[in-house]
Amino acid sequence: MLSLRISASSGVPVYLQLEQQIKQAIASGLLRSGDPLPSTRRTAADLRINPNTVARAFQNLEREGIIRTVPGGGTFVASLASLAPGLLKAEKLRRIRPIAEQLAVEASQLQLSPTDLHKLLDAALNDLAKSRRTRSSDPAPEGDQ
Amino acid sequence: MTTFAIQTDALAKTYGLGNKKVHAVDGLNLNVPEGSIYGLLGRNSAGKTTTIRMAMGLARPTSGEIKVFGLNPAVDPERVTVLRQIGYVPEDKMLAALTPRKLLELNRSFYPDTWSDDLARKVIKRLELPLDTAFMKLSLGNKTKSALACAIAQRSRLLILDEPTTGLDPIALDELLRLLVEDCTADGRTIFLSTHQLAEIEQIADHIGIMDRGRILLEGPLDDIRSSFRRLTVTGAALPTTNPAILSIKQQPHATQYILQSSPEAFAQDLAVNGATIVESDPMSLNEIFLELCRTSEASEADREEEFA
Amino acid sequence: MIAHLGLSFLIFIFPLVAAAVWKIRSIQRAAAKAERDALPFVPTSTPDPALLRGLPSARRIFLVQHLKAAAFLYLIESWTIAFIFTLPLFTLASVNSAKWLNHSAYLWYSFITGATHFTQFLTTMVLFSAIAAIMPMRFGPEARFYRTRPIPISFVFWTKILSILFAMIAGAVTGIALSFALFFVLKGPIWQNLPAAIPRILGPDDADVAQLYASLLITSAPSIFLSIITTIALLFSVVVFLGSAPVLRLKNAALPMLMIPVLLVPFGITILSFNSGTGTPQFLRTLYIYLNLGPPPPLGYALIPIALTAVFLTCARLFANHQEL
Repeated sequence: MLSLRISASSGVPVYLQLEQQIKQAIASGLLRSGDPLPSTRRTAADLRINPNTVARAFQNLEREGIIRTVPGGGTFVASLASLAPGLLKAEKLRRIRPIAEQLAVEASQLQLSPTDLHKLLDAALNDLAKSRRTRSSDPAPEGDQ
Repeated sequence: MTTFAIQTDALAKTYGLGNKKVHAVDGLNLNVPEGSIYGLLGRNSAGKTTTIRMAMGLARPTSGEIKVFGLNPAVDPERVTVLRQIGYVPEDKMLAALTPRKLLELNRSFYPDTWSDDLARKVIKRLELPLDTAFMKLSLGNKTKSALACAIAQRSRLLILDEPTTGLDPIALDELLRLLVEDCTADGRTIFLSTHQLAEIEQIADHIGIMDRGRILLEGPLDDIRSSFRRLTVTGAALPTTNPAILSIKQQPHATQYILQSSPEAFAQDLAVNGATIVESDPMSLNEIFLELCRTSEASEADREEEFA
Repeated sequence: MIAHLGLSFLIFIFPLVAAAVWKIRSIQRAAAKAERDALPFVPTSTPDPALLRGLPSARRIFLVQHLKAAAFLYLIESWTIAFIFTLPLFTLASVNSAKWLNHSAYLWYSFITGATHFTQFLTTMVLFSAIAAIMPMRFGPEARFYRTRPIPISFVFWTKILSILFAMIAGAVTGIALSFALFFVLKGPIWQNLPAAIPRILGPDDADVAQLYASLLITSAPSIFLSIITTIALLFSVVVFLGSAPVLRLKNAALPMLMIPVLLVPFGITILSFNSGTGTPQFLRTLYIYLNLGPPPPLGYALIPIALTAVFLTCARLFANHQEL
């Protein structure tokens, strides 16, 4: 079952948090096209938030074509093929943005140049790729080295 | 056309005489839209309970007006029509019967049209209310739960809850929020909550009113309020000091901190245009908004008293 | 004498205490059983007497609750009054009877003075009943509960006040009737066998007895009993009126402005009636307070306390509209 976490006091409007988390869930595969979503009232009760807030979030998502409501009742994730692939990417970028901004602030305080920063990022990505490769080719647990 | 469940117009309530006069409510303009979950926030002696008592007809206004569903709640027969549609949890959680079970059985006879035994059972189960403990042996939390069970099972058009979280542990509090959202908001019903628990209000309320010293400091949809308030840390020269958008200014060693109460984007743009640098821009939680408003109101009240002294 | 009084008090108090203990025990047993059983909330509706079916259910239940309490009060009062009035039948010392030379006269005298000395008890009883009637409407969680349910203020007021008032008057009537019946059964119609005049045998040493005798012969028992009823109503309505008076609300305390006179009035009346010798002062006679030996006030005066009762209760009802809880 979909687990959403809403923080009422974070300063981000609750309906926005809901929308973002549903989009995120779709982006990471936790929700697939055709999956049912609980009703507005059920979602509100489970999260202990105002039903109008949930209704607003669902309305926005429906307008963007991410979910659809069936006339007989019930809300479902829309078929993702119809969604512009760029939308999900925009969501992913939005998620990473705060870290990027923080990195920029810290780097400027330490008076590192943009080139240093790019080198640092490339190194980190390389290390990550390397460790992924080693892990896949050596399933046995590490002994003492 | 929004109808209002509760509406007041320059409502005032004064106690005592002469020097000892207490203005519990002092020119209150409250507007609770029907179908909303409205949270009334305020410090301990802000006048919240007095206002609620006037809405229930337990006290009469000294001046001004209060209307519930457009009717006068203090005078029969309108009073009876109003009370038929209200579920009430008072601030004082003393029971009017020997046990919670007896209280529920007594209360259900007053609301034959809307009472639901099923809902009563649901509330009893969710809140874990002991039905047969004598009220003298009941803990404060259980007394609150009894009052809540009575009010919620009425399925009233308006729920008035005065400090409904008294004595409730976190689990019970969570269950209460769930019950309120699940069973008390259908069919355009209204919930009016008066509480100190800002975190809970922030979650379920869609309208709030901040009350201090008998009057409303701020009222409106919660989302609008949250988007109107912002904390800005700014550096630069010749920074503005008077602007209706500014709630308060704090001078820090190398920067100025603004608390804005309206159109923060416009203000920020203004600053940028005039060459100032916005170092930090953060939204504010309801708690921070509340504290800031009360502090500012207290400060301006003190200034005014000094002027007259 | 003391032993007699002690014994009679025990006989009086025994059924009341026994009933109270039994009631408390049964409530405790029911409460313990309820806690053990832990039944789910499945309320049963009991059918109400057909007479009340016209009322909305909320008012019906409220009314039935108060009628039950009033019936309880009625029983206590009937028992008490009957007991006090028939006490002379069983506790007479025959030494005084000799002075009176006429046993019937002495018996009758004891009965009447028993009735009139009853005033202290009467005023206390009325005072407490009136306070018990009015206070649950003004203070406490019960008051706030009923004030926030959809029943009109007038319904609450009249149900509480009238049920207790009628219970008290009915209890007085029943008690008096019972004691009269007992007298009749045990001693025959004493009041018909009184001597027409004071026995001439009484000499100057018995002047006090002679005076009492004279008063006794012109005393009208029915007037006394009517007076008991109108005085109950009058006192009750005065206390209810005072207890309903507007409250001076200071910051955190509430002082009913006129509560202190509530305690002074009934005791004042009692003291007055005791100090009045062979007759009661004119002021009290106007109020048809006829609680001593002597000539009765004109019957028409009985209308005065009845009218005053209506006035006081109406004012109390109007006060109730403005009460704040």
